[in-house]
Amino acid sequence: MIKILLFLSLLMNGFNCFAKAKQTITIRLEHRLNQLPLSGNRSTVNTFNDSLTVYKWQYYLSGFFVTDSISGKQITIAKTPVLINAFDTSIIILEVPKGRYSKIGFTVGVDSIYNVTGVQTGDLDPAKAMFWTWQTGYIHIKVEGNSPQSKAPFKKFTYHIGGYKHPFNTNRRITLDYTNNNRPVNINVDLQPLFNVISVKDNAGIMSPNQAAINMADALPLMFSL
Amino acid sequence: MKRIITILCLLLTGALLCSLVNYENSTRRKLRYKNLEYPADWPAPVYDFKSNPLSEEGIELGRQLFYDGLLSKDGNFPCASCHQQGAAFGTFDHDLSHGFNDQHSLRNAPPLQNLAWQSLFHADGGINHLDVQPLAPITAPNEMAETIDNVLAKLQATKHYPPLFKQVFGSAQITTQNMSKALSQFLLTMISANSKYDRVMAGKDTFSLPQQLGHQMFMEKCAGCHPPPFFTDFSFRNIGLPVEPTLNDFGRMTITNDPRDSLKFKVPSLRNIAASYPYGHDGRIFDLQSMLDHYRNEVQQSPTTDSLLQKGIPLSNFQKGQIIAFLYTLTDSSFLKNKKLGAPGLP
Ligand code: HEC
Ligand code: HEC
Repeated sequence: MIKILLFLSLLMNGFNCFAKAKQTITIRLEHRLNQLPLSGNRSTVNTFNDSLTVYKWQYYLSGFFVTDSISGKQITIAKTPVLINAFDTSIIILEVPKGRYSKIGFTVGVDSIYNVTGVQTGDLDPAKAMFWTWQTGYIHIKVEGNSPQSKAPFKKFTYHIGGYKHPFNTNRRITLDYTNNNRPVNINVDLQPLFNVISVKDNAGIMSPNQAAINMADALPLMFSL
Repeated sequence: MKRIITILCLLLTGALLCSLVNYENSTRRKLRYKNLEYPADWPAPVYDFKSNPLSEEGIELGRQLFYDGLLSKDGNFPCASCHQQGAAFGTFDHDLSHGFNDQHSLRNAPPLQNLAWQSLFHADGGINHLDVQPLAPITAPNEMAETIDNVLAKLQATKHYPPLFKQVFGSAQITTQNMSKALSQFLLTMISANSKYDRVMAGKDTFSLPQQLGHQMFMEKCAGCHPPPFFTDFSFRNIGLPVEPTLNDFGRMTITNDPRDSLKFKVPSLRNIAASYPYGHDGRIFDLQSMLDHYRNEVQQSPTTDSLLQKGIPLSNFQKGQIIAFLYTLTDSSFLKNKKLGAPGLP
């Protein structure tokens, strides 16, 4: 046992000392409601003419990658999924090999492996309430608020979008241009495209992987822009 | 520059090694690891023991949690309130389980046994890992009605639990993961493999004539879905029980959203079946006679009713009696009375 540990730590040291130099990329997420900064007091109107205010908005980002600007090769960044609370400041720091990159990307959601291997820790701890206990799986994005058009108790709407299994896999990949390699990447994340695909009058609650969840997941890529 | 980095790295290695060695000494060494014990002719378990190695200490910690009301909101609903040993860890003589505020759950609490071979849990298969299973009752408002954070805080605040967690998992900080792993360790030891049936198969006992005829008939008419040694093939099937209009429980379809799964429920094990009445996912069938009458006369045909049951299962009264005589041989009294699975002495 001890021998193996010794070997492993030497190996790790090898990596630390002689691996290629690293650089960091800082991602700043700017959360918005119809282009204006997110606030619990602000309301927006969707394409169905429902008026919505938001009091909770959380989601997972995972599967980060960058694309090398010369070779076009995609480099996956080892990092466990990060839970973002849109009402907090949201900064993600990625460690990548030194180089120049043309694209940056990630997945909104949690890869299936974390959904099928028991209880996880850290941001994936089920105690974070981003986990369905009666139907195992992560809630990839959770948006809750009020709308006068809602027919649910307290005029709430509750959209818990998740699911890792075909045909209700709601993981969605986002790829963005990454032009200025020396500056932090500021990404706007706007709820409007998500609200535009659902009528609160008709459906004020999504709480399991189903077709309505897929319709909303298909709008996820529209939420992210530089 | 390079030299400084190398020296730093060497120092780090030293520190890392020291901490690892200390860790080994202070915690792991005291654990009595053990392998799950089960009959040699059973298949290998599906549970991943590498991610949660069994130890005497881990199992004991899981047992204490299983019997502790702290895991529920008002203290009255430990796991064991619904999963009672005498009923093979199902609920004795109740159709729907009772939980917090005297609310009913949707389903009948099933027996818990031989869980290491099961990969989907609940009658609808909604749960895909034994470790995440306890989170469902803990957070269900009609069962234990708690939040995970609250349960962890309550356990952390005791004098009793933090040292036990430290011993088993190397940290006194109680986490969702470690609480679940401890519960799993105990649940995994609920092995029932010593019924009269098992002894007969091992050549150590003999069936009476009705039991023997019942066994033959069972293998012919029932083993398509309830095959030994687990007496379930772990699949989901519709046996033609009509939907109960107030519960509106469509089983597997609730999880998959696939109409082809409508009214399919997990095939339950029949081990200890005589001890775990009532029967069916919602406990609507009160005894084995009525269960067999269902197969005989009452199977409702629908597009998802299992093809094996297109004509029901024809049985004479005589044959019914023989099958029931056989089902009684699946009762494992050493399991129902195993002290190691019973309530722990008060800490
Ligand atoms: C209020 C009653 C109640 C309590 C308390 C309760 N359970 Fe259950 N349990 C049930 C019911 C009902 C089911 C079946 C649910 C279903 O099929 O949808 C079940 C199912 C299970 C299963 C899956 C069995 C299978 O074969 O699919 C396991 C394992 C389990 N419970 C363990 C536990 C543990 C561990 C605890 C304590 C943390 C616990 N239960 C607390 C009622 C309860
Ligand atoms: C087509 C597959 C199939 C066949 C054949 C079949 N069963 Fe079942 N059996 C099931 C399923 C599925 C359930 C669970 C139904 C539910 O929960 O609603 C079940 C439930 C039961 C139960 C109740 C178990 C419990 O814990 O609630 C008993 C007892 C039972 N079967 C005995 C038999 C016997 C005896 C036979 C042969 C005469 C038989 N079954 C044939 C699929 C089958």
